[in-house]
Amino acid sequence: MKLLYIVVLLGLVSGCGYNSFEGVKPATEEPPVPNMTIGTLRATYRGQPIRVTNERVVVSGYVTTNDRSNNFYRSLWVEDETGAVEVKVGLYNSHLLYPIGQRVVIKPHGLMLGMVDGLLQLGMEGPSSIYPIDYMAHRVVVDTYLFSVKESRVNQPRTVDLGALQEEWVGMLVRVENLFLDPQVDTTWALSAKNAPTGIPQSACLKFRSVHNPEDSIHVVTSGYAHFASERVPRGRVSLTGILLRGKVASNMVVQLKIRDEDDVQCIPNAPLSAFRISGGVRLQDKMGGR
Amino acid sequence: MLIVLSAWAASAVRGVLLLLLGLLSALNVYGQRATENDGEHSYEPTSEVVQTDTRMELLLQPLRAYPGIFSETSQYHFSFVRYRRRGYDFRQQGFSLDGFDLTDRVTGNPHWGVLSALQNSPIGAYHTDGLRGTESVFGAVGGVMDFDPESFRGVRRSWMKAIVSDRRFRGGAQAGTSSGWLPGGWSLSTAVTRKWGRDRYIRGVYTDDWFLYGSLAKRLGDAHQLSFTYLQAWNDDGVRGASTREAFRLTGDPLYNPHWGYQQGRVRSSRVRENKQPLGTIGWLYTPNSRLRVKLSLAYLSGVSAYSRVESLGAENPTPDYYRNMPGFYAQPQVLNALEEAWERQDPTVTQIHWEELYRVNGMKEDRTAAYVVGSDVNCFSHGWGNAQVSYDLAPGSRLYGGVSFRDEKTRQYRRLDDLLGADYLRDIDYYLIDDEYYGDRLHNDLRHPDKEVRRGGRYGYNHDLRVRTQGAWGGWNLQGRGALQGADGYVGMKLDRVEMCRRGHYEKEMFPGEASLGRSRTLSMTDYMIKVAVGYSFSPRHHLSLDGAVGEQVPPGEQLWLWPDDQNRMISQPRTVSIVSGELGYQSRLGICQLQVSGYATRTDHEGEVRHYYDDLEGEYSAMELREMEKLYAGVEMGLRLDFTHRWSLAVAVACMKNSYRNNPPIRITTQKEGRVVIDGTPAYVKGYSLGGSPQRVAAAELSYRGVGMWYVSLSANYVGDHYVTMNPIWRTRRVYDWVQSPELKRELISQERLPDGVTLDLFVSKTFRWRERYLSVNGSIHNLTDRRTIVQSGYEPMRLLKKGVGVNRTYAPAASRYYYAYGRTYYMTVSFRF
Repeated sequence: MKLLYIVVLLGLVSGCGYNSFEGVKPATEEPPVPNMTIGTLRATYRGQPIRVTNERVVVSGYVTTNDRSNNFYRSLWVEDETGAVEVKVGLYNSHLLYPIGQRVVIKPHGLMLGMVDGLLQLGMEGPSSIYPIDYMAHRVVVDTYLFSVKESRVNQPRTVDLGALQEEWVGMLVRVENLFLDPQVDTTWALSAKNAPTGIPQSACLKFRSVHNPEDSIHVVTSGYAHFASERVPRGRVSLTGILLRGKVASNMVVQLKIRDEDDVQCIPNAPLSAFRISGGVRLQDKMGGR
Repeated sequence: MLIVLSAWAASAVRGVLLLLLGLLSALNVYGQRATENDGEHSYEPTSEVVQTDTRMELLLQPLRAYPGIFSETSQYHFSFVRYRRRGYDFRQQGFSLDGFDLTDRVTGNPHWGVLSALQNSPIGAYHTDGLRGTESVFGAVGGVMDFDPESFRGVRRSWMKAIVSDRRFRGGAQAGTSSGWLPGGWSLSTAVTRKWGRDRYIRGVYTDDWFLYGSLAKRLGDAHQLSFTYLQAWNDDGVRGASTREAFRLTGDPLYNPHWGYQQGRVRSSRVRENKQPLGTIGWLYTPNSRLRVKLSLAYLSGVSAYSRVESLGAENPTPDYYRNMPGFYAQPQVLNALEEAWERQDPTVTQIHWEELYRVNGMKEDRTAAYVVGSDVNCFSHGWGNAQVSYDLAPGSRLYGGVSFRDEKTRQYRRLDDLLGADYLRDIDYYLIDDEYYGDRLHNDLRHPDKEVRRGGRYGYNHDLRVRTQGAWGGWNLQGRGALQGADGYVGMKLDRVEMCRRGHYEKEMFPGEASLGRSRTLSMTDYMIKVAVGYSFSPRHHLSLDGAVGEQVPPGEQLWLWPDDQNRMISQPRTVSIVSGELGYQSRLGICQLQVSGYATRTDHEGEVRHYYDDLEGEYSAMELREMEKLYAGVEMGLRLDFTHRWSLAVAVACMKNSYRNNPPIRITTQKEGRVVIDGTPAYVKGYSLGGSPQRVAAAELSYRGVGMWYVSLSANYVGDHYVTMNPIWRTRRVYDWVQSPELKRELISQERLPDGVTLDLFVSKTFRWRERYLSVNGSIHNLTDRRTIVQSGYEPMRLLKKGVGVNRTYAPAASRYYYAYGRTYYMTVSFRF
């Protein structure tokens, strides 16, 4: 009977706190050690999408853009000093996992390596030759190939001259200075759902020319889903930062820039519109090799 | 019989009521005092040892009683599935403490914390079946469960109990004492109960409960009694969640629970129910003589109940079995295989909540705001009741009773921040609007405190009161025939309530500024009434036949009358009461070793409404679906049989067959949340003939028991459930959805209602009691689901979502996977109790 007393009394005074928790300790898992630059990885590409079978290949870089402002969709752009690669993670809200400036390590063994319009891509095998690189789509898959490192930096864009662009810079964060919108119209970066006649967001491609050499131009492409799509494009002299791309406009291959958000647009005051000399553009893909 | 009952519908009932009233008053009917409503199967205390968890908890509470063999046998044998007697929802059942209705008029659910405290108290509960109420609780059509502190007042007893179980909790203890009536007219009863531990089979499920009960009474002279009762529940319980067949298949675990994950190696639950509900009553009882009884009582309930969940604020849904996180969502073989492989090896970062990832995401945000938090939906109660009851014996066999009551129930509803998961604060904005092209500049949840930074314990999201005030009266007349009408009995009763409801918003939501969300809404007034009448006749002391009828209007719960109670003062399009007509024919007999009870019943509800909030995949917006003018039929037959072969051996059988179904195709109205745009209005949901689901429609239990010498007791029961359907989603049965589905297979899937497999269990109960003079030591043990059948589905429901395939004009939709709970396998429950 005493035992029952003891059991009951102990039971009545026992405490639990089954769901009381105090934070977490940071993970100590070490990522693989990089042994190759992105530029070298790019150099291994031979014109056809290929599965990376060498399990020792490890590259590393810093995230230059993600889906934070919805202008880039389900992909991360990672670059080091030698080049950039689009990692088709296929995650939504990937900016929360891989913020801009975050260093990541990529172990591409098993992934497909491809190139579209000069842009190096890593992802899953696509459904067709037209679409050779597909999204990884789920965190379980992404975590197999992509590792975050507890290290970040403020990305410094490469300042480039439109007249001296290089093929291997495609996908990299660049800054182009002294541009103006051509023609100088009052427009927005893209057509958001609110502004689109169909109610469906539409992308836009705006041509900017160099103030110093108006024959050089670059097209700024913006998604209609971008947070800043409805914002007015500044008139006057601007400097733009964004990811350098190539793409077609009216069947012509042109150089494109995709900005990340409005902070990538820097207006240069005291530069009157009349100072600009507007003339016909030049197809810059000729200067970039146009492959 | 059912046809007869069905025909005995609204108009007939009204006629019968009037006819019976006239007849009974015209005839000079007298008889002995009908102390209970239920005639032959009255509320006699049962001392039988009971068999399942809760029944064993009642072991020390012999005053709990059941009105019939079916009730007694079925009450707990079907608890391995979600079983609701006759398929009724809680609104049709009455739960009360000393006459105080414990059904929350705001939510329509009972106050679970209070009920748990009562279940763990020593006081007795009287049960009634069907339409029958008690003198202090009028009830609806699903019987009542009335806890009466007076039932234990005169008992002098102390007890201790230890509990061991492997289901929901692992250990428990209870201690209590009751003084009985002491010299000086005092009586004191107290009990404290503790339950704790993690479920052995379902991770994330745990119990951390305290229950306190105290009651003090003082006799003032011969005719007066003053009493105080206090109840308190402190519950903190991790609960399980339903999941899809895909998740069960991949994990190989029918008890898979998505609502937990590891944090630093410990199991952390995301869905936690918390109850902290103190309830106090004060009563004055006046009994000047044996014929008159007057009672005035007041009660007050405060405290909170809360239910937590992980909330993603502009981040991915962390629920592991969210459809986008399941392998079946992906067409790419590599992705599908990788996910399947992770699920099959039960990688806890995939199959469970990845808490450490949530912390990591929060930690990486530059502005240190939270992308994930744990928050709780909180109901904060401020409920008061007042009752004045009187009963009077007009003559032997003729008893009048009734009373007046008022209730003022104010429930504050808000979200509470429980854990920032490593973030510094949360911005109190509507994260679903951030990317909204049109309303992205109307983010603030409370314009009066824009950009509020919320920290642990703070309120956010929504904050409002729902208030329901009820004034009412009820009365009844019990009659027992004498003379020429010897053997006849009956009663007639009526309840009338005036109900007023309003909402008061404490947040001015930027999306719905001004009076649309802030301040008082208009007050809605409705009348709730019910008339009941019954006649019975005992052809001989061994045979009794009864016929009960009821007609009335029922006010829906307050929450169902506002379209968006969390955000807006806007009411549903056509608020109205639910019409109820019910009838029941019962027969009881006692022949030799055999006791038999058979009853057939039919209940029809009309004009019922329902509001569900969901993400409408066709519209791409969070929306509210209003179902209006629903007609439902609950009809069936119940049979209870007891065979006392010898004074040691007996067999009890309970069988019920019912058909609970929709009787019409109710119109649907869908309104989007943001713009309040009506998407469809009046479109029928083709649900006529579908089963209501949520409870099996065929049940049977047989219990063979043996009472041995030396106070041994053993029983073995076999329990069966069948005709069990998933709870249906009406949206899928509209042309709006049907036309978007292309393949015949998907169309069939969309409109068919899944029938869950039948289930059978075996339960064993063994008890031994030792006695030393007036001291008793009882050891009781039970094993449920002896054969360890792990394929029984406890319940299931269809979600509101649709899965989109393709884009533009080529898009098509498929129904989202249904979700299920599986029943436990073999479990045990054991108590050791000492009474002195």
